[in-house]
Amino acid sequence: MSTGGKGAVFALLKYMLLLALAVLLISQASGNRVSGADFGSVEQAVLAAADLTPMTEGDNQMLRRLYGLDPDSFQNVLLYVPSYTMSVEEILLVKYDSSASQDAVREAMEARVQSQIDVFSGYGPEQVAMLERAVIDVRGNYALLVVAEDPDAVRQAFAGAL
Amino acid sequence: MSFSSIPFLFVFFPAALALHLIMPRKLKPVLLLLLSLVFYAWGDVRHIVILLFSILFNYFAGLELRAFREQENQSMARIAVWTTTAVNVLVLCFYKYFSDALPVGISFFTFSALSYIFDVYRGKAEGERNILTAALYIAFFPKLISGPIMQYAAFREQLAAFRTTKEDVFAGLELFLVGLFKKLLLADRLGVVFTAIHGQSDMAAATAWLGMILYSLQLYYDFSGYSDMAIGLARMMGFHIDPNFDHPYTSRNVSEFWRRWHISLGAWFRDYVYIPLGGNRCGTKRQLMNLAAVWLLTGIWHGSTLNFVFWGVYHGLFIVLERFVIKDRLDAVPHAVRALLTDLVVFIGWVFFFSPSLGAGFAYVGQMLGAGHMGFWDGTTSFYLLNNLVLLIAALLFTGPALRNLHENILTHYPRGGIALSVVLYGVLLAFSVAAMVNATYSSFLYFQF
Repeated sequence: MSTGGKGAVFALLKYMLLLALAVLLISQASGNRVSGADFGSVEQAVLAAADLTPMTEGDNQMLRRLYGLDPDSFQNVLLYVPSYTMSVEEILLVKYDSSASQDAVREAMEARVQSQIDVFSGYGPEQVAMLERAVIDVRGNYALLVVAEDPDAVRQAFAGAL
Repeated sequence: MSFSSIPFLFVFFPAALALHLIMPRKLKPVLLLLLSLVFYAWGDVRHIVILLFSILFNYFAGLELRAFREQENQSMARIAVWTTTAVNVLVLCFYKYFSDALPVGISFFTFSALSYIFDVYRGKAEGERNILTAALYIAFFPKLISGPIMQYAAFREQLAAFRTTKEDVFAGLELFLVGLFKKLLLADRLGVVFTAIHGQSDMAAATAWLGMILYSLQLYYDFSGYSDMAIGLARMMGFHIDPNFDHPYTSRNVSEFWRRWHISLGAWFRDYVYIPLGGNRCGTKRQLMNLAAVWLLTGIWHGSTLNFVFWGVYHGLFIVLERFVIKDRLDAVPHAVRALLTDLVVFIGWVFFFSPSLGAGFAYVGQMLGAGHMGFWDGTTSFYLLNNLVLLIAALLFTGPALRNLHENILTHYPRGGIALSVVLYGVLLAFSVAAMVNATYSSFLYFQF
């Protein structure tokens, strides 16, 4: 093969890789699209996949206190908080109208996890390990935070329900 | 994975070094590449596909350029270099400015990849046939996340003849420990005080000045500490990377500051942007345009928001002022005074670096000028200053070369006692650093965000 031919082959390989990356980016972007799923069905799927034993249902006041979020700015909220002083299992599922809420919700979730890590650092290594495995999944008009023994199972149920 | 984390320090680093030292020379590049990919995946497994894309895309682009150069087809080579640059820059811009999650190190490994492409295009190096070499250059773990951005031609030259000596291991370890000390015992502590001050909505002017000084010192120790660790690690693996910082806060003007601060990025922009545009071997108007391009790009490289653009242009303006207006008029002014004036300019620039927006940056400068309602000095100023006086003095002292020179003088004049003293000193530094690491909550490096 001539060197010019070689150059064309390498250029082709280069562009094929670029195409593969473009497909990947588009598929990632479509993962962030607004979901038309009913909140009730997403809630049901999330709760079915979670072990709720160490948690109790939280209220709007808790959402304000623990996350600094205003419940009125969301369409629906599901909050489960730790039942005991030494447990950290927690679930927050929110649905909102505006994609502008995405960053605020993500930041609030990250801040909550970090604040729990700060609380348990030094004397609760198991709790810190669980908090470090926490899952935050923000997709279109839904956001989920899970602190649990098996957070990925809940995340998968969440993704499947959207 | 961060160099100053327990998993790196006690698992990855000792394992990597031991494997590297026992591995036959021929297999060392394979090992280093595997270690680099594990290192990246450990910290950011989601984005390893972007790193792999960068490696493969630029590997094929390097071969494409090599083929066109061998055929002496300059026009096709030019098209190849432009398209490759465009794709690298577009991917970087997409993740940096439009994506929620930034792949860690993307600005640094993209600039490394571009260095490879430009060096091949300009004939400084050949397009690499061995994918291992190209991949190792882009992904070499000591420099992968936050540089220094080693230029390809220099890396290739060292790879061809690289070996790790006992001296390399000890010198690298020494540098790594100095970096660890800078990060954990200086930068992180300065950062805690700065965060507390910056969190206040209103503050006395002197508190705002103190905050600015604390951040300037934190950024220096954070980034130069990281660079020292990276260069030390590379040295232990047999690679010599030039220093990335050279006591920048003792510089006599802004141009000198930029020859001593983040030296590898400055060299990258000089070699691949400024000089190809004509550098200073052209008329004044063209020189001004070249400088404007470089400083605008430097600002945008750090972030797309207006505060970073302003910060880049701000430095560019001072460099133009020094080169075309002030020239040598300040030569008679004592060095210390010129260094203080330079620090004043640079430190005020950092206000726009740490502020989340241009407006917030100006608001902070306003508070430094007394625009708040707390007067010039209040109890909070005294509290933060007095409680952190020792830290502040130590941090200011270490910005200069005096302590390093003292250490070298002791080693020269009292070799035996000096070495024993060094061993004790570095042992103490390591002990304090590990204690700080265990006690503190995780603190990332400031430059990871870029």
